[in-house]
Amino acid sequence: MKAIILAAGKGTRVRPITHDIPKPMIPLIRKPILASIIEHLKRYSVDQIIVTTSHLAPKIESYLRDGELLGVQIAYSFEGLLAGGKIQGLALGSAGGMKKIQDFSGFFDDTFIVVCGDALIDLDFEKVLAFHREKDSIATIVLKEVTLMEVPKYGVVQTNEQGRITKFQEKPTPDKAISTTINTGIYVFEPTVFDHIPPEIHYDIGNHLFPALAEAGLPFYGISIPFQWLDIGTITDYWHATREILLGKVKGYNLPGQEIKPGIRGGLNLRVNFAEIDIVPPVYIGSSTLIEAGAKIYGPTVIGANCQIKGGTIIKECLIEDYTRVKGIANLERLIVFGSKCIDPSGDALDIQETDISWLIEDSRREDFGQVDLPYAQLISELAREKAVTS
Amino acid sequence: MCIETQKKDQFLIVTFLEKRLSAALLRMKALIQAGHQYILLDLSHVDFIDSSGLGAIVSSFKLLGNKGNFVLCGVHGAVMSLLNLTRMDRVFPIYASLEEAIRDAH
Repeated sequence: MKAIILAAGKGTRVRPITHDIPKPMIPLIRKPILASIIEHLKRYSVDQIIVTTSHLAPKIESYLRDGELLGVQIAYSFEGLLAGGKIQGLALGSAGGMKKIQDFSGFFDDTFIVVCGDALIDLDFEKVLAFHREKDSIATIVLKEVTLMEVPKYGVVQTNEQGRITKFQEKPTPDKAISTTINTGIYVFEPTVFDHIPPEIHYDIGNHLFPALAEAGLPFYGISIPFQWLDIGTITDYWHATREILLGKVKGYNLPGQEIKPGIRGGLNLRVNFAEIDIVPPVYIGSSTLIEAGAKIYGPTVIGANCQIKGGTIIKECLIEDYTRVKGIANLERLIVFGSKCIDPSGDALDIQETDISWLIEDSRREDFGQVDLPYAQLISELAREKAVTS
Repeated sequence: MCIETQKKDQFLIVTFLEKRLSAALLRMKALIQAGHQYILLDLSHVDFIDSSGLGAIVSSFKLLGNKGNFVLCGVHGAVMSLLNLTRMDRVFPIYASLEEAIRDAH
């Protein structure tokens, strides 16, 4: 079976992380969301996948290559232009991007699945496909109920008793919303849907195609079945999803590495003496990481690969990227350390260079000078230590 | 002029008026040497502080020693993050607002 994964978005709401990695490549405890999506599609005999790429396309393409490692065939439809050494996105819209592929090769020759590259799902596609065929639908949307306050983030639908979509409204304000049943960005389409997408113009699935299908009264259906849906739309979503996985609340998500102690997992080549550190689960420790005696780590926390966590530091509920050295009096609480920034779960970021805190957090590939002789760093460290002794 | 001072009860309220606080801008030594013992540093205008700026606050605090009291108020966003990161949130009494600080700090 064929599928298309929409991965050309800029991920503006997940900045600053998406400055460096495209949203589908954001790792949830080491594994990019995109890899989990492909593994899931494979369970339903999907073996040929087109991934649309644009923003940071090479990061996706060099990870998946031709799909050999995941056991599927993968092709890319690049939506952009290389100009002045930089990739510039070409706004085709999600439907326009699919139309481009169809006009190019006629790839979609049978019923196919469409998913967005930014949500972790365990949807039973068997059921969705059966419903789609039974209804003789040309486009079927997987629906979910949300609260009224959440509707502005999504497309909202109105269905009749048969599940036929009679109205589609893209990102309405709560007072204008026709329902609280929303589009999850997961679809099953027939190739005939391309008859309703004009060529070579910007055309969006949510903004243009769906309202048009509903308006025209075509066999366009929605199905609501319970499934797990972790949509990584914002930094807060990313933070929340990672914690849920670590806490074991996400069914069927296989954590990497091996369990070292209850609730503590790690990769290979670790150097950690568990008798000499304080560690509270759940914690995942990436491969080749060093944790020195006297460090305190509280979960839910993910420490990346090739990190160095020095003695005396405190890490509490953090996501720390690969190659990070944490040292001195550093006390990291509820932070995402990524791309030389400390980002709090709401998305506010502290730039490590600008704030001049590399005496606390730095790239572990830099030479380790131990105690830094910056006068203010010494002054602050001394005071922190005095206070720790007296209290 | 990036500092405004005002006497209120026993406190000397020092309001830093710039958005970015760095060591070069925060000059409190003279105030402490002039004998003020209860200092309330109002950081409500400050959105950004670097390590050297924090170092300047710490050095004022040290200069005051055990003779008086040094408290902070109006701390928010990135300033609070830096205080947490360096454990200085455990050193300085921090109050949400000026009013609260005047009422509760002794």
